[in-house]
Amino acid sequence: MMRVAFKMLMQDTAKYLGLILGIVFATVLIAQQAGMAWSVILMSVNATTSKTEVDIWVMKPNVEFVDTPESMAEVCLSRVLSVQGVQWAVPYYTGAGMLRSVDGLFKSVSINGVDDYTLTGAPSKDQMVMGNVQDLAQPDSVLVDYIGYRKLYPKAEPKLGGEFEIGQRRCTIVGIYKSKASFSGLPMIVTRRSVAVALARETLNSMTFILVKAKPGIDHRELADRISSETQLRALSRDNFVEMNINWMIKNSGIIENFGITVAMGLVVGIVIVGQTFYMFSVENRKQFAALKAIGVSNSVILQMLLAQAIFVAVIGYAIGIGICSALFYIMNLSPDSSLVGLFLPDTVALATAVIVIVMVILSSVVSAWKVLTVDPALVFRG
Amino acid sequence: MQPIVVCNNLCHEFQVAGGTIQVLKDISLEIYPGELTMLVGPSGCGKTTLISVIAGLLRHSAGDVFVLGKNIAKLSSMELLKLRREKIGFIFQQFNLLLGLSSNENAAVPLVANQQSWETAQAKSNALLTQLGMGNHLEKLPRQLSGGQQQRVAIARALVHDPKLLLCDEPTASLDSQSGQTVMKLLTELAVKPDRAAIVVTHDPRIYAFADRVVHMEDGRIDKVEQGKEAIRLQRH
Repeated sequence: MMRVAFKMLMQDTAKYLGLILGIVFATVLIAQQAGMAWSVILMSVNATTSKTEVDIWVMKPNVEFVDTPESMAEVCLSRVLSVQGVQWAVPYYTGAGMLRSVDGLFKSVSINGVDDYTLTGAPSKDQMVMGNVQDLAQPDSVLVDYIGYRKLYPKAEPKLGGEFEIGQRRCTIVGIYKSKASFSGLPMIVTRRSVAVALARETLNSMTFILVKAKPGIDHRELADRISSETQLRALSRDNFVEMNINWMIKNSGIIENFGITVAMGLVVGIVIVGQTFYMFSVENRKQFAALKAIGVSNSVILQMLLAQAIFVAVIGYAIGIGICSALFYIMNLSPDSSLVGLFLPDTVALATAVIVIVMVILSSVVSAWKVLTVDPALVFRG
Repeated sequence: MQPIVVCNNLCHEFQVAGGTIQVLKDISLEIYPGELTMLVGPSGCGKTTLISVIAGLLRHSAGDVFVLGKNIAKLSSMELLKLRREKIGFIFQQFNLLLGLSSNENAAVPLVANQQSWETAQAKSNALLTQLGMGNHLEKLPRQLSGGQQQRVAIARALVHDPKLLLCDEPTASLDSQSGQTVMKLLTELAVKPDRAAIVVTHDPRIYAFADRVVHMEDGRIDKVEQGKEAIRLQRH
């Protein structure tokens, strides 16, 4: 009887297309807004997740978010290194500064200082678009992220050797690297920590994080707990640090509330359009359903038919909607100068949207189905 | 010969605001195979209620109704559905074809509802529609057919699963005189078989001549019964 169900569904092309359009609209609204919200939140931890060689992040006990760190004394590094199970530990600095380009314009930048000796925390070889990480050994040399470079020099083709000033200190670009977008959206400068603190005009040898590698076979969470208890600093495994930052963003940024309202609107509009169309479909076809019931088709078969119709339109509407949404995110990322660069559609959002849309359509269909399931088959004998 | 339908002292009443309305009063009737019975009478006399009860679409208030030997008051909802699906064919005044399905698909629906494959069902419906003169309209949708053609598809749908009882509600009411005569001619040729009974509800006196028996109803009761095609024809003229 499924063939009958699909043919009945498509007999009224306008309503069928209206139903699909309603689902497409709801899918685009839900997936696009939830995708933006989730990718903005993930941007806040891109710097953390990209440092895959680091197992544990150590910071001052009252640090709540990666972009609001506090400086630690140099002695903290020695204390962390002395904890059993630590393979290596290196200082890491994050801060901000004002960049003055050769044309005299000032721009805010994010400054990242990696360990002077090992360059741990610097971009990997694979991330380099131009230049070499090892060139950071040269005096006052810096790496700039590709998106940031395009923001700093919108009309110029990327090239090495360019100069600018930060904190009244002249720097030379020795490398350009690819990175995921940051939450702040500022161009990212990577340099040795000794250079970074000078650029940011911080106290000599300041550090905001200590990056730790655990010895093989050591549980990262256990080691983090041990570091915390022995050094009185806050140590978190990479996963826990990511989780802490995401929680902070959710709690303090208002992103969930702002995007959530639009997602809820998408859901409501979807339910209204789909529900109303299904209801009209049920009302207009109740004589046909009554005829089916009169000739002996049971309510359970009719319910299966209605659910098959619902799932069919949900899958088509979702597929079109998620396709449009993916295209929107692709377009957003086409221009490297755009503030939307880095936004993407996470798989989890696409999957969650699929579940929401299918549940929404099935619920709307079942509510409307009541009209059909309770229709009196004797209706067919009433002219 | 065993009757296909037996009604003994059948009564049915509807609850309405301020009391009850008795729509069927003490109906006793037997319908035999090979017989086309017409239920006739003015609007509101209870004809449609009577075939709704016989079809198991309405539960009657009192008396007994046996269809193919089964007391329908004692059948569960599922058993009633099975009875209708396998043993009863329906023809409605408004055709009630499924608008998204072609002629042969519409006619095949009862077989598909009885778990037959679409291929088998459509082969049977094609043959029947061709017999009904619809061979050139097999793939057409209901909206592409005239009223008479739609009623022929409805006849095919009612007969495709070879039911033992055919219930027709005003089959010619939505048709012009000529189409009505054609439909009734086809109906009597194809529907009335030695092992099948047909009940036709109508208030169209022009088709009484097709009946083997005419049951006149008045105010929920059987008023009189006319027997035999010839007698009916003579009485009309």
